[in-house]
Amino acid sequence: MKRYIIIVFCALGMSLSAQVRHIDDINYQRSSIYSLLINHTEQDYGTNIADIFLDIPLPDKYNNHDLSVKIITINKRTPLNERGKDFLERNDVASHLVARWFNRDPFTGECNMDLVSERALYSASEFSRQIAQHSLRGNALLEDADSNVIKNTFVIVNDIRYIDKEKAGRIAGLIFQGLLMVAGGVASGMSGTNMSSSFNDLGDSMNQLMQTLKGFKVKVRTHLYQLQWDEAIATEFYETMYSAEPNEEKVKLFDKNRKKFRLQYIGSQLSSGSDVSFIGVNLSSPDEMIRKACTRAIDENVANLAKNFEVFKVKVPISNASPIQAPIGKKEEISENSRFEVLEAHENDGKINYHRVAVIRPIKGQIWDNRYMSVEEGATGSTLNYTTFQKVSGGEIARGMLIREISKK
Amino acid sequence: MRKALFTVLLLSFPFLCLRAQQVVANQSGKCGYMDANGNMLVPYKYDFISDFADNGTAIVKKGSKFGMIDTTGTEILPLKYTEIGNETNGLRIVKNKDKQGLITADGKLLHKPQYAFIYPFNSQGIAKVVVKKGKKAKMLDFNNTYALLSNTGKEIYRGKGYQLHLLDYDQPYQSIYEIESDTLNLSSGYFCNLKTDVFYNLQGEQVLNKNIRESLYKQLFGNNASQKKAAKWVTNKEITPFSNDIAALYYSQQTDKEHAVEAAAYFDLKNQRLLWNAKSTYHKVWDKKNRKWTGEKDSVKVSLLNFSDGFGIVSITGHIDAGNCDILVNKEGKEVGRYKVKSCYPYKFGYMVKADDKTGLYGVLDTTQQEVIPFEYWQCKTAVNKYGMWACKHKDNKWGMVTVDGKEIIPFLYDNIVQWPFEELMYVRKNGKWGAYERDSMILDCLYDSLYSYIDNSFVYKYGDLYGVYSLTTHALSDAHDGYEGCYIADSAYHDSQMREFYILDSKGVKFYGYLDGFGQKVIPFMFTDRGLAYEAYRLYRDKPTREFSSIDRYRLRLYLSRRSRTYTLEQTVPAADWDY
Repeated sequence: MKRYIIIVFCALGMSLSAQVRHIDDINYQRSSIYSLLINHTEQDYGTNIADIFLDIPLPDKYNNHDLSVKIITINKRTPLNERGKDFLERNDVASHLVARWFNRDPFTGECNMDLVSERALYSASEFSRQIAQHSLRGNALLEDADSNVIKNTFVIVNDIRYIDKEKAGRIAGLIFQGLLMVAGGVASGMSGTNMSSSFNDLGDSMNQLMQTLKGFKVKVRTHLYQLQWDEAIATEFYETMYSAEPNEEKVKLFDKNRKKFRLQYIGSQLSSGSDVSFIGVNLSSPDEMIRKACTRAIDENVANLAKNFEVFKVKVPISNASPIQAPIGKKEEISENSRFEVLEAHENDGKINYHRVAVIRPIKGQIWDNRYMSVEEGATGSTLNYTTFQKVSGGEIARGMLIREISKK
Repeated sequence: MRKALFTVLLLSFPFLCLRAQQVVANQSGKCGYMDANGNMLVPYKYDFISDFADNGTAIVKKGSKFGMIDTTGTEILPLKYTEIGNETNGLRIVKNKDKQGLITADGKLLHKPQYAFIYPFNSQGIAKVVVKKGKKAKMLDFNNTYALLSNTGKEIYRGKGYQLHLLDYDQPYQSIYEIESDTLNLSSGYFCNLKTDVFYNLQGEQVLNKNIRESLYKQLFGNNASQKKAAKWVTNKEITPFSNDIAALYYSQQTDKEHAVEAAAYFDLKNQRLLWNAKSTYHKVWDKKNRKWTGEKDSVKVSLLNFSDGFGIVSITGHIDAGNCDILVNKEGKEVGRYKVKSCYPYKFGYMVKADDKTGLYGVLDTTQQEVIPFEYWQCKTAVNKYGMWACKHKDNKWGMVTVDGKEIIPFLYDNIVQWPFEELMYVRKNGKWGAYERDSMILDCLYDSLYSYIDNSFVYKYGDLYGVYSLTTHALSDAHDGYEGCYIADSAYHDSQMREFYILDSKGVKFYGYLDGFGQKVIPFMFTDRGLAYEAYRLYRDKPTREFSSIDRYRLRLYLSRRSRTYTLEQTVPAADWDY
């Protein structure tokens, strides 16, 4: 019989009593994200949207892997049917992501493993020591870091459109349709498939503009890419381009081989465009209104991408086992119909694997509304801080285990 | 696969030979050891000699084998190991092919290479080892054989097919991976096999197992107690880990559908004896409306607090002949006091706060149950702090502070006091304003709107709209508002307990972010308009506090600072100088 729960019991109620105790700072290996904006300079509030985007925090279930380039612009003058070279491919974004992982100095080529060990949750000194000893453990740690951490690096490209109902009609729709063709070209250039058709469909539907509370809405299309990091590319990098000391030759070699690092297109998600309540928002400040709408839309897309694409699924730790609770909620698009698998980490000579031990579901009425500004909105469930679950099947559940949503088939 | 990385480091070894002060190398690359006078104490015969440690030993390598020598050149550890690890807790891991063993820092062999894998020793000096893997072992608890080694190198435990967890008070669930880190707390001094429910001390001796539990059960419920029922102990109430080497245990015996008898007991783990016990009755009632069992009509409850400072407190509520009460039990299992229920606070630092049974006024007792602070206070903090100081409220509704030796160190003038358990610092409030005392000296008058948590020997104060830092090291207020128009403390998104994030406003209302340390000194200049960037800069500082910003740091920070103004078209190739990595 396994025992995981400790109840600190006090009859007097003066010190700790048998209460729910949460672990709020459980560390676990998270995916890393680089977030970009496609901004339409001709649209209303284009500058505001760019400013707002830079302030929108990354969802807290992910590590920040941003680079210094954040905003890509599109304007009216861009030929609508021109399919330029893919921005991400042309600018070797994948190689910059790799460089960030190893804290690579672009001038000297000097690298280190600090970020890798930090995000893989290894003690940096222990990691370095094991590597230096070329031990079995060090080798396993590196494999674990490659497959569980570095490989889970993603780029999300957010195409944000502000739509004012007063300028409704075919004009906005046509512009958007054309722009989506360009974006489709970006995507198809990466994956080698023609993705344009889906965007064209979307463009047609955009002609039908929905009424909103304040006469505007924000629609965001988020495209997801994953860094391709397999044993072959990792080996080549470690053997020929990684250098702990300044090395001019390796600087040149890395610059010459940037094209070897690639991103793979995973898919995209369009925000529902559902009405965003502006309760709690200063209605005389368009920035605040747009910020809320943008943040909600991006969060919604990220959550749905996580739902729909296995590689992007997020694992969240159980913070309390009795009752079962986790810091996940409506922002992650969960509902009482969601199902989560509970994963137990097993380590074998340094490599971590996850095994399902149970299935749980959220309890209706106990789902945390953790969306942006839900507290100010006075939304139901906004003060819960955790979603409470009930077990559907399986064995013992303990704090620290991770949960991951099960895709509906 | 990782050979390249290892090779880089391995190739650096010969250079170490050349750089060691007394380790020298000849033209053929062989290393030897020369004393200050030029005498060769160790001839040129090794491919590598490490720097000599303080204990006069060095690691040597010849061919592909490692060993150890002393300063006379004597091979204290023969050269037959494929690997020798760095020293941790006075021990080194040695490896021979695929087996690992253990030696002391001075080369004495504790365990010949026999283990499949030795995990790093944790902060308690315990290491888990894989003795032997099962044939098809995929999961840790499949068929592997495990052992625990203490920091003396002694194997204190060995078994097969289970998961080993080292108990931590606050984190009952420990993944195998976490066991290897230094984050575990073994303050209770015990560990548990969660599969077999057996607890061990750090010598590897079983202190609580099934037999002991069953024996206890019989002692509590009689020899005729059903064995089947004996197995149904209330494990979710068993309080673990233990404190003061005493375990607080609960057992239940279902008597019928609605009734159960519970026994609560203190068990001495060291001496393996039952210290004290009492029984309670539990009467469940069926809630027809909600269709579930609830407690506790006519129930008697016995609740145990973990031992603290050598005393346990038992609280009995419900109908009982003896009446509701708190019972004080010492480490010998004797009742040393019986008081009104819920009138006692646990012992801390050798003192117990208690309410008088008749008057309800509060005072303090020592470990002999003698009164050290008289029972004349109407309200109080629940414990005396480390320095014997105790905040309490007098009958005139004012708070002050007294000590266990009878001194009034803070006068009873205040509307409230905030007391820190491990410090001599107190915050006091009067007429809505806060001040601070350090022991009996007032260091800040009651002029401040707020005083914040004490961290890192300093705390933040708020004065009107302005904030600053008070340092207990320098006993000075920082001049944080130095011409700034306004500043605030960061919210949880960027807050770090060691630093304070502030912003200043310029004449256009633009916010500039920066960080102050515990002395109120600017460590991150107020130059960042991007809050995230300021945090990035702070992170760099935090990791290496003595570092100066390198040129690459400045380069990257500059790029972040200007990213609002840098946009690129979809067709554009971003200049190389605009990338930070």
